[in-house]
Order: sequence, then structure tokens, then C-alpha cells
Amino acid sequence: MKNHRMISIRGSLGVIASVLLALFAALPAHASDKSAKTIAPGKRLSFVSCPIVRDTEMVPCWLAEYEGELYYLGIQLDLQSEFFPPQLKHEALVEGVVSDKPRICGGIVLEPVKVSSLPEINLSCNTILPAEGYKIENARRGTGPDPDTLSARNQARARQVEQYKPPYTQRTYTVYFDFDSTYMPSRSTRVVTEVMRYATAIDAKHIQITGYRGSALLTNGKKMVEKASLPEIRVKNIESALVDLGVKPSIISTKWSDKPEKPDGIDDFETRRVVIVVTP
Amino acid sequence: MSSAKTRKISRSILVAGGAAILVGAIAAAVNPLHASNRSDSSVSGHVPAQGRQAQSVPTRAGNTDDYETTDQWFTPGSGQVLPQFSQYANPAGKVEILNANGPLPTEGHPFFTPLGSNGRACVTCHQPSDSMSISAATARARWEATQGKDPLFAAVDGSNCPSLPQDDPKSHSLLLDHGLFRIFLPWPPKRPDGTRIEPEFTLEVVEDPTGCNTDPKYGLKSDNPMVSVYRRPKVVGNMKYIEPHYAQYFNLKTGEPLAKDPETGNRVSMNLMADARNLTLKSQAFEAAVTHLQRNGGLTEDELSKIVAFERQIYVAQGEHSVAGPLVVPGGPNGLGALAMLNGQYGLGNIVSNPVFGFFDMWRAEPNTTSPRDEAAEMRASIARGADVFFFRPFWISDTTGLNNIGLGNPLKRSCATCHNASMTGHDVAPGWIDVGTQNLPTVQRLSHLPLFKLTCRDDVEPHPYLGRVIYTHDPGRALITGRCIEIGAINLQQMRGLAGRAPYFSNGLARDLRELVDFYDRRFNIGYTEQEKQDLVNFLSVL
Repeated sequence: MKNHRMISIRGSLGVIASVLLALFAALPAHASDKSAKTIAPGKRLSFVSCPIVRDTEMVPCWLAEYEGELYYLGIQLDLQSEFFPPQLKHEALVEGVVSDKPRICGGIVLEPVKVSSLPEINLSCNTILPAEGYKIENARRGTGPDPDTLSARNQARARQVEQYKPPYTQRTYTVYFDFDSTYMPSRSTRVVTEVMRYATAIDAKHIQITGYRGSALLTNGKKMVEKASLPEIRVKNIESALVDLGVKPSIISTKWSDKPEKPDGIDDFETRRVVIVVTP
Repeated sequence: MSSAKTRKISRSILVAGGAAILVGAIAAAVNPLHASNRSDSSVSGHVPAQGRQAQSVPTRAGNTDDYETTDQWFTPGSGQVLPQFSQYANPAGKVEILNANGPLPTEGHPFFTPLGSNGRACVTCHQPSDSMSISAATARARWEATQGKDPLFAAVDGSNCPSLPQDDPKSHSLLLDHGLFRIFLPWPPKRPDGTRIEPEFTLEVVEDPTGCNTDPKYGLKSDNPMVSVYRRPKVVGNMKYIEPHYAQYFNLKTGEPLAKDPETGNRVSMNLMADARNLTLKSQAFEAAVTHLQRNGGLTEDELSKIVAFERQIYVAQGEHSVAGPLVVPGGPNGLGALAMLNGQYGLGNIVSNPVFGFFDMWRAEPNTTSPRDEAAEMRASIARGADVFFFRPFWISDTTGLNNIGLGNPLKRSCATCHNASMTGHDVAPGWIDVGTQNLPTVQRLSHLPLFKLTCRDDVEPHPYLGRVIYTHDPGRALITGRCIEIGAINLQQMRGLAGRAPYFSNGLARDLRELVDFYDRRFNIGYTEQEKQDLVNFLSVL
């Protein structure tokens, strides 16, 4: 099922992600850890560890340590960002690709990277590093109020409602979840909203919502499997949201599997998903 | 309202029964929700159980012939005219009340008229002089003035528990000392349609200083199981900022759709109440009549519409500071005073070009150092610095459910305005229920005057992100409505207008004054404010 990639989530999200990635890439590395071993670019890493936040100028940056090496995950921005920082007091599942970009915040850059904050508390995850000379520059937002550019961008996004024209086709939408989580952040609810818009605009005949139980193969060979109850909860939450948004309940079918998806250590985040197929 | 003289109120308040005796309960035989010309869709599912308890609480009979009213106290049923514009003294200066639709003769108006059996009206706890809320100081003054006979102290929720001796001020200590009213909610919680919610946690009473949670008649093991928590009344005013929903469809805090007004189908802000249990002004008024006023049968559509219309036409803001002088002056800050509230625009205020409470640059000038000192200019400069601290001063915001766990990271380095982000009012548009740590241990120190609950979450549900599955709390907050573990201790941010007239602060009255409020945040988030920053922030908050 992992080949069933999201095919209709495009436009603003992708643009934002590209801009952000470009920004991250442009950030200067003010220090590098010469003593660290070399990790081959392109290597995929999946690991669970305590996240670390560094109190850098402009905005904090987030890191995670794995096998003695520090990896850069992203910076604090806001809910419009593709990267959502993890949480102290919780371990994080980090799934990323080692990039050849200069270190940021002292960490090897993982890009792309998915970070899931795991639900259970781990009080040992409590490290805040000082800046130690590292800086973040040119971030879209600092630690204060929104710059006006952000506000303007949000308004522009709000105006970007797709106009659907016939012939209408079957569309597939995918909502991805953090590991062991049912919470849908704004980037996920935007997908649900898009499903509603398309389904109501074309007077869809059928919506199939299918939930999958995620798993992850870690770099150390261990396998993580999500709780069996999650696929059902996720599917029902999305069904309930669609109905609340005005989709006719009679056109919705749901199913879910409590059998874990098979992980292979490559983009395993795609296993924890709900797929929504809208049929005209 | 300009005169300082006091006068006798000769108008009787219609309360059940005769002289100073207790009127018996009507209790279970009564349907508290029966009313003509009323739509049932405005009644939340938790209200019938509340109504049964409210009707079972004796009311103190009598009238207000002997009660004195003053410029600072609006007596229910007095028929006073509420002017279009009025100012009331408070510890920091004067608060302005702007009644946008012009002078209101309150004779017979349901907001100002006792509608239930205990002699209270809405205005009892939403006094113009107290920024449309009520301060603990006012409650104490009212106790002194009436020897505790004012309907403000009604046993149902103006005392620590109805079963206590009502003539004893100790039985009203939470109201007199902390400005708190008893909020009694059915446990387990109920959905809007009245069906039972299976909570994700068990609730045990660890300490019950008021006796009400363990009371055989009013407590959790009574025939009508009810949990009692104690909260401050919110401001009735500036509703054009509180009612609208900012997000189009979804609630950021839960990832679920924003709730809808059951009557119109329109989405709502969910920001009206501390726990968002009532979604509209109408449903809030209905519940308030049933509980606070002990109305047997709810309100009519005509009464509801008049109350809601009034609440939408009232604007509240500080208008004068005792040192800085008038706050609404030509060339002054654009966000101060009640008229600014009327003319302001709803929206997100955590934006550089649209600061939450407007611009204070004109006051940022260095104070005059020549002799004699210009204290007003120095105060204005302090206020401007405080605005900067509020808007720009970053600190680590940590372990705050509803903020750190929704994708922003824990900790998040931001300023006060991150959460207090609504233009002009400073509540959270999100909607704003968060566990900032005012209710749950250990972020708040154990408060011996409040009940303490132990909540144990089931293993199969997501735990509270920072406190886990066993949580000690003085008020489970939103979780009392949803039954969700993750929402234990979460309380809606309230608007920040008219603060000077309505101490103490936080929903549980935790901070006696603005300095304690600032100190709480300083401790809670280890901010490290300087003494100057603290004082500047206090001065800034006192002019909102």
C-alpha cells in the first residue's frame, strides 16, 4: 500500500515545503563538529531518541542524537510549517535522509525528515542546549509576533480554493499521522477540508475511507507497531469530520485494518495513514 | 452614575416565600427546563441535571428594601438607567462601560431583573463597576453592606456549599476571599443531546474543604451526581471579539471541527466559557438562569433575545489611569478605552502590523527628567514598555497542553501574545483552552481552600502529554465536559479588558492582583523578568 502515494495534495503545501527547504539549505552553518564520523549522504535513518532543543538566536532549532551523532531536524516556526518540532518530555521517532548540506545548529541535516512525538512521557528528555555560537538567520518567523508576510501568505492561501471543472475524476487523498497519534494538525485538517470541497462540488457518489495501522523499521533493526485501535479511531474521526462539514453520510464507506503494514525503513511514515478516495 | 451618594432601594425583589426563612425545595418533581416560547436546541445536555440540583437548593426569602445601593453597585430590579457611557472607579483608575445602543432603562429588562427564585439577576455578578464581572473586594463590601443577605450570596453557588450554614461568612469564603462561585456539573459528563459520556478517567475526591463534592445531597455520590468546582465570572462585554470563530472549520486544539450553534448551524468560537460547555450567548444565559438564578423553567425566547442583544452592545475597557491620566486622548494609543473596543476589528492580533492592543509608540518617549518629575509621563512610558514585554519579550513556554502539543514543539520560545492573540481582547482565537498550569499540580501549588481531585486515565487512551495518567487537579476544566484525559486542567483563556476592576485573576482566582498574575507566569515559565519588566507589565495590564 505504500505505493499509493498522495496524488492530490498539491499546490500551497508543496510550495511552502519547497520554500522552507530552500531556506533551511540557505542557513549558514556557523560551526561544524569536526570530530563526528562521516555519515554518507542519502543514508536513511530511523531511530527513537530524546529530542534536543538549542536556544539559538532568532528561533530555536531542534536536534536529535543517534549513536553519538547529532542530527538537525528543523527550526521552530508555526503551524503553517511543514516541520512540526517534537517535544521535550517525550521521545521522538525520527525518520529521515542524511543530506549533504552543511551542518545546521551543529547537526547533520536530515532532509526530508519526519518526526513523531511519542505519546508516553519520558522525563529524561529534557535537554536544552545553549546557542554555543550557532545562529538561525533568515527564518520566516522569529520568537515574536507574525511578520506581515506570514499574514499575507495565509490570506493568499485562503483564497486558493480550487475550482473544479468536469470531467470529474476519482481523486485519492491521504492523511498521514504521527506515530501512535490520532491528532490531526492543521496540515491534516486541510486535507479533510479539501475532500469535503471536492466531494460536495462534484456531488460525489461515493467516498471510501480506509485506515491503516502503521509500523516502522528502525535502523537498529527493531520494529515498532502502532496500537491496534488507532486505524478505526482515525477513520471514524475523519468520517465524523466530513459529515460535520456537510458531506452526506450515505455516500461514505469506511474500513480499517488492525494488521500492521510491513515496514522497510524507507518512508515508513506512509504506513500510518488514512486514504480517502472520492468517486464522482 | 456620577454621584457618590448612596440611596435606599425601595423596590422589592420577587423571591419565593416571605420573610427571612428558607423556602423549601421544589426539587425533582419540577421540570426545570419547561418554558414557553423556547427552543430546546438552545439547552445543553448538562443543564437538566444542573436544574434539578438548583431547584433542590433552598433560597433565602426576603427583599432588598433594606439593602443600600451605591454608584458602584447595580441592584437587580432597581430600574436604574444604564447610561450610554459611564465610568466607574477601580484601584487603577476608571473603567469605561459603553452601551452602544444608548441609555438603557433597565426596568423589566431581563439582564437586570431577578428572573429566578433567589433574587439575583445577571447584573448581580456582572456589575458595570467591576468591568462586567465582579471582584472579590466588591463581594466583601456587599457582605458588609447587607450582612450577607444580598442575593449575591445565594446558597446555590454563592456559598462554598448549600449545605453549610448560610449566615456564617466562612460558608462563603471562596466568594469573599477569592471571588469564586460554585460551578456544579453532572458527572459523568453529558453530550449536548443529554446522553452520557464515558470518561477516559476516574475521578476521586482527595480533599474537599467545602464539603460539596462529598455532600450526600449535592455531591458526587448523591442521587444527582454532581462535581463542584469554583470559578470566577467572566466579563460580559466586547462580545464582537469573543463570539466569532477565527478558523474556518477546525479547532486547532483538537483537530476536530469547531462546534456549531445548534439553532443556526453556524460554527462558533467555543470561547465563551471557561470550559466551552455552552456554545452561544443564548445557551449560556439559559444555563445561568437555571443555575445561578435558580429559575424554574429556563427563559423565554423574548428574555433570551433581550439578554443576548444587551450583551452584544456592551463594550468594556479601562479609560483612565490614576497616575497616567486619561487613556483616551488625541494622539494616544489607538487600542485603549471602550470606544476603541466599539470601533476595533476582530482578528488575529499577534501580527507586527496589528498588535493585540494597538500601538503605544507615542508613550515610549523617555520620561521628563527635569524637576518636578512628570509622573504621568513616566507611567505612560512604563505602560509602553509593558506593551513591548507583552508583545515581544520571548520566553520558553513549556508543558502547556493546547499549545506545545499541537505541533509547535515543547518548549516553544515565544511571547505572551502567542496565546493572548485576539485583537483588542487578548484571548486565544484558536479556541483557547489550554492547561497553563493554574489548576493542575505540581505547576500550581496545592491550594488548601479548593477541592483536590485525583484523576486516573485509562491505559488505552492518550495520556495528558505532560502529567501522564495520574493527575491531581483543583479543576479538571474542559475535561469535565469531554471526559478526555488530554484536556484535564485545560481552561479557556479569557479576555484581558477591564482587568483593574475585577481582581482576582485566573478562572480559580489564583492571583490576587496583577502583580501576582505576572509573578505566576514568571515562576511557571521561569521567565526571569526583571523587576522593571514586572512593574511595566503590571502597569500595562492595568490600562486594558
